[in-house]
Amino acid sequence: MSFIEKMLKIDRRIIFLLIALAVIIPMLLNLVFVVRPSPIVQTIFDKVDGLPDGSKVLLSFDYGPATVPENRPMAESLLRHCMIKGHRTYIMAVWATGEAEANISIGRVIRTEFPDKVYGSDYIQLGYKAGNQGLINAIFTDFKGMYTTDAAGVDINSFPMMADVNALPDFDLILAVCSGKPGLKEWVQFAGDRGDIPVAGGVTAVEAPLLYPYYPKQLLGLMGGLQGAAEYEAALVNEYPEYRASSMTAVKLMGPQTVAHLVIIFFVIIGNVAFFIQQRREKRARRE
Amino acid sequence: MRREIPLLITFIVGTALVVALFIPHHPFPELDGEFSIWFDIIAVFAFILGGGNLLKVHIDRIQRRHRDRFFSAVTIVGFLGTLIIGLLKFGGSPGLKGNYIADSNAASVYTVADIKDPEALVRKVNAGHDPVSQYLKGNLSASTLEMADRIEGGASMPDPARTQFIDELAKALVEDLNVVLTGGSIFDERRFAGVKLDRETRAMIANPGAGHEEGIRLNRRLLQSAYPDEINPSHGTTWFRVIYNGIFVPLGATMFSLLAFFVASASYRAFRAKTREATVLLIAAFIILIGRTPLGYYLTFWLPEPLQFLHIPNLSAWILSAPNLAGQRAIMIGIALGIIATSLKLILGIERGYLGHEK
Amino acid sequence: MGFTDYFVLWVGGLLTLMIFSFLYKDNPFYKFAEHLFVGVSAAYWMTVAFWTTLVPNMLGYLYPPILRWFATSRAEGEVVVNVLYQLPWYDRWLRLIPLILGLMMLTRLVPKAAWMSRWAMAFIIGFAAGTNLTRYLQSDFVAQIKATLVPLIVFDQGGFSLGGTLTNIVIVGGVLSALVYFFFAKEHKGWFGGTARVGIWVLMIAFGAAFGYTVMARISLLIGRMNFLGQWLQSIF
Repeated sequence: MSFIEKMLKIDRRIIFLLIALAVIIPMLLNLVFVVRPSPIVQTIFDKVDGLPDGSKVLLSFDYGPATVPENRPMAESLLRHCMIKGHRTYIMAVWATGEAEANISIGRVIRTEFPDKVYGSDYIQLGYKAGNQGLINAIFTDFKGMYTTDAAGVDINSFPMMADVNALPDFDLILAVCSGKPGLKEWVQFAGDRGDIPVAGGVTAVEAPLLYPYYPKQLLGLMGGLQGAAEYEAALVNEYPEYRASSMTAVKLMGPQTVAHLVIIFFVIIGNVAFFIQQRREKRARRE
Repeated sequence: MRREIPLLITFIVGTALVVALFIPHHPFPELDGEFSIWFDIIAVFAFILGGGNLLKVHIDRIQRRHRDRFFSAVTIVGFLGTLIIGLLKFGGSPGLKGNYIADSNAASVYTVADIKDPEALVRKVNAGHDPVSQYLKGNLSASTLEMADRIEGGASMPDPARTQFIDELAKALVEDLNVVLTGGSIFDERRFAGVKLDRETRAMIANPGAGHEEGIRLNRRLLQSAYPDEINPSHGTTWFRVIYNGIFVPLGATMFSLLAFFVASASYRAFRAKTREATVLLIAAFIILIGRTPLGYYLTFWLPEPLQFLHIPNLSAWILSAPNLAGQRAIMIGIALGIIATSLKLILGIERGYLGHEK
Repeated sequence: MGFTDYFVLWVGGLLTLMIFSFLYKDNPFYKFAEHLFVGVSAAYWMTVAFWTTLVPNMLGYLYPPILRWFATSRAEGEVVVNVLYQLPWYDRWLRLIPLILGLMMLTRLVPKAAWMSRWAMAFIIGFAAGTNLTRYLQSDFVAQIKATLVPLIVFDQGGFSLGGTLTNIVIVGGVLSALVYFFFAKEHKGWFGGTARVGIWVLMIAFGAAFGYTVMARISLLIGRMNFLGQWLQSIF
């Protein structure tokens, strides 16, 4: 077999190894680039930053362990920002795994960096309820009809921050960190458009291009994948540099991400070059 | 009859929900809300159905001595094990109370749940017969002491008001105690002379940790030792949460991460620019792949002002918000029309496939 | 680190390697991990749905004293029970309907009684169809048309904006031509076919962006897993 033929029939395990190295080596070398926020992410930052202190922000954790590398930095940055600004943050989940992820993020962000925040006055963990878009539909008209208690089973009306929340339109902003269905699309359809409530959030990179038709009128901003998370972290650090240490999760992972992207592009080019050389050889052979 | 009633149900529910959008008056918003809650509850039964079906399929495999029956057994053990652990709330608070997914609270500040008997606790502290109670009394706020005096005064309260009062007393106590918990070690030989301390607490006193968390951990143990009947012991992490962190998360995350390897392999072996359209697709993909990383900035930041639109991050942002938006919007409109038509057909009973083919 | 932390780290690490072993070849370790995942994840969602929704929103309404088990302390449990008892009895007993429908749904597992599950399915389908119709019509159809009605000649801060104009022309032209491409009732010939061809190009760019983003997503998840493996190895050495 000629060299080109060998190249085209290469064992895919070698490709696996190369992509693994493309990820591991930059991580070992601690390659970190500067990330700059793009307009579609900056609008979310500006909205959260511009809300008056004490605004009511709903933060929905709609993802599972599979997409934690992309979604967790987004969720934690949003949570951190809300705590910095003193917004009343209502944490819920439309995915069963979202409740567990929210607990993890509350521990990592609020209990670690903002220990003086009071549960029930500054933030509340409402937890998961089954029903997907049925849940969003139910809480749109009667929030406390579904959430009769918080996630720990305590009566909902015993929390000061729940006093003026009766339906979704009472919220000043809905933020959702999602990875599929039900997700940001359902939030836009069943909450944002229905009640004219500002909706923004983050999704995995797979979903992001599909949500662009909603931007900017129905979805005021969108974080797409790890890059989106890194951009929000960068925007946060630009405005509040004292949070740099804890806001580097996604930014740090952009190094290996960049290298891996280049390797994939290289694979596609090499594959195509080899293919076209092969085609030309076959054409020549047929002519002879 | 067996097919007519379901069709009728679909028609009534679907029509009510559509009409509710246009008639925002009683009874439609209430109907909308109530139907939504019913939907959410039935969704839980759908999960139970899924679980039951899973068991059925895998038990069947074992009975038919299928080649992979050992692995079916693994699925069944994993399923039943997680289910029992979650439903019986193993670990965590004793009994069935408490959060099924609670984290250990041994190093957290108190919540109302931690005070087993607020009335008895406040009586003991107020009486101040032992050194610990005297110390705590000195750290209670004025309003808490006032509430304590109301209890001492023997004021009798009818039941709903009494429960509420105890509730508020517990909250006030928790607030004061948390100041004590977070204010540094409360251990003093003489203060805790009459209190029975277990071996682990003594070990912690001998080797106090440096962190804030260690301090709270020790103080919690000390207070619980001093008031075993009034304060609940700390609970550990529930086994369900451990299963989530140790089994569910690694399995789920790794399964998805395998896809990266396959995407790389497919890019090399299958992605061929055989037509002009495919080439356009590839070029757009390349610009996005580079533009969505910091490298995109470094490659073209030197471009002069009039050519800034060719700056790769700008170019990739433009591709996303113009041609990509247009294409995705057309697809979205097409899908929306399909869903609207199908929904109408389902409500009107024209589309009956969901009923199955039995008589 | 406590026992549970070691358990999570070690079991997690081993299971990760078992799944990765699939890259070399399909093997029993991978099969074991995969089957374990199926069982655990089904039970996880069932348990969470049970404790978060079935107990407080259905069983609690039908028989409030059950919630004393779920509450965090006796005092707080009492408050929840009292609140529920203040509702009129018919409001609470209305929750019998979803209970019955739900149980009917479970009959799907029993072939002889499976016809009952159609009633529950009918409710689910009716709800989904009813809500989807209105929501897709508003958000994915009318709102999308509205958002495409943008000026074709854009003026920015007094002067003519080439970028803005070009963008809007691409958006309007792109949406229209892609929609023409999807219209298969008329043959794609002549000017109609020409427009459809432009539509294909627009769609190709959209798919290219989607491919780029998909690659990005997959790589991110791999990086996350490698990060975890790195931490695991660090804790050993």
